[in-house]
Amino acid sequence: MGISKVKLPLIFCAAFIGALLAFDRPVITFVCLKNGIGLKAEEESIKNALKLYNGCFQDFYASGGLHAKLDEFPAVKPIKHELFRDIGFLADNQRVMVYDSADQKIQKLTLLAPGKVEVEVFEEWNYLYQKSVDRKPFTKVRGFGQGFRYRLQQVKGRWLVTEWEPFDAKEPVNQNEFYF
Amino acid sequence: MFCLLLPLSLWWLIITAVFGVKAEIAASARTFQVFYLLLFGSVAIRLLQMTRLRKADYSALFSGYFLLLLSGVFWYGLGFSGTFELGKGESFSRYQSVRGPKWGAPPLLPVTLASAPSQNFGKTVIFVDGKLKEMPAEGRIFWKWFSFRYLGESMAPFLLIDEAIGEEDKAGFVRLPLEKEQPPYFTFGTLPHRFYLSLPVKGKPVKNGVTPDALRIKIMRGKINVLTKDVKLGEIVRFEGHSLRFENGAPWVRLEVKDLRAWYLFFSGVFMTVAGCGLILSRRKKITTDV
Repeated sequence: MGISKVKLPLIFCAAFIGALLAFDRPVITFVCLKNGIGLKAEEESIKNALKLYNGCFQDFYASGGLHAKLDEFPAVKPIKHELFRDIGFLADNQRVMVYDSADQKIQKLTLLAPGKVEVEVFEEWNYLYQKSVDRKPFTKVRGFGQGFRYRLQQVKGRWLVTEWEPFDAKEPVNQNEFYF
Repeated sequence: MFCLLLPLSLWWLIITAVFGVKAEIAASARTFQVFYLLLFGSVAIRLLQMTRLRKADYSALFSGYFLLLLSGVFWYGLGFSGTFELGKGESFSRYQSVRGPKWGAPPLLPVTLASAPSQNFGKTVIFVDGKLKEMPAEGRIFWKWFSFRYLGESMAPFLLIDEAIGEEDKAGFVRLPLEKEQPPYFTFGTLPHRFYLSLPVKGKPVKNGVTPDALRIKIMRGKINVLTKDVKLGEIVRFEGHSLRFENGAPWVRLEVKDLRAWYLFFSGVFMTVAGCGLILSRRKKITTDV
């Protein structure tokens, strides 16, 4: 009787842990990440997603809106729509915009919930405008540095940008930190 | 019941207190939810048994447990809190921000703003379900199981786009953010631009209910900052073949709504549990004294 009183709660605890490991991986992963376990690898995958995001972003503009990389582009539909609305606006004005990403530095990464993060990135870009007809540049190359706050969500193992927002950020002093 | 309660309590304590994860995330684990429902079911069965046996003390105790567990269900899955913004005469149409409910949609509130504090000696006046209610700046008002609280007031200047270039104009009231808030962006029609409106960095303090003399207008397109400028009232600004100006607007207020059902159930549960324990103890004492 005494043993079963001890054993039964332990069996339930073991069943609970087993079920957590089997069915609640996102929550367990989040708890681990929040406490620094496996954070480096996750940061790397988020950095890669943002790198891919900006890489596709450049290609969409440079190609005048070719859809070849649309499935690869790690962003949700409203972001894609906004981007193509801009490319359409440029096309209506017989312009093509060429972006070139010079640098990206992650300044802050916040885990919001399982599969949701917020990342503050300082980005440096160069850009110029070309005429759509002959692709001849009609502005000089200009550059800017701007802070962007991205919200990303993990969907089927992929990090997708769900929101972005500019913010006033100072250029990071330590070049090596978070540098990629 | 103890067998179900033990892993639930341990998970809750370890995740929130030791690992510093939010209670909401701890409760989002499916395993937690299944064990919680099993515990809820077993408490409900015990409550029915005790009621059938007409044991008032244990019925009170188990109804206390039942209500406490039910409050958890409302806190996590059915309850919600949110904020919404209204201009004078405007009826509720959408939430500005909302947390929950996880199961279902937040309700449409029958609320209309009658006047903002700047128009009514510091008091917000709203119609709730057709009844006029005054809300002091620091107070709350209650309707059904909801509480409403005033969060702040700002202005919504009237913005006109493309009026100066003779194209079909787009116009509307645009809400300035509350003090110390980052301005949210808004878009107009099919334009790809994001517009951010805020008060100038070095400007005079603005009175509630008065349109400021100048606004900081920031326009982004893609990653490019197209324009950041302090614009005076009525001044026409041109950007990328379009024009923009702002005129006098109207005040707006932000209100918070909270669903209090979880709290009502929680306090009822605490009361019933204490009452049940009290009855059980008094009965035992009586038996001991009789012996």
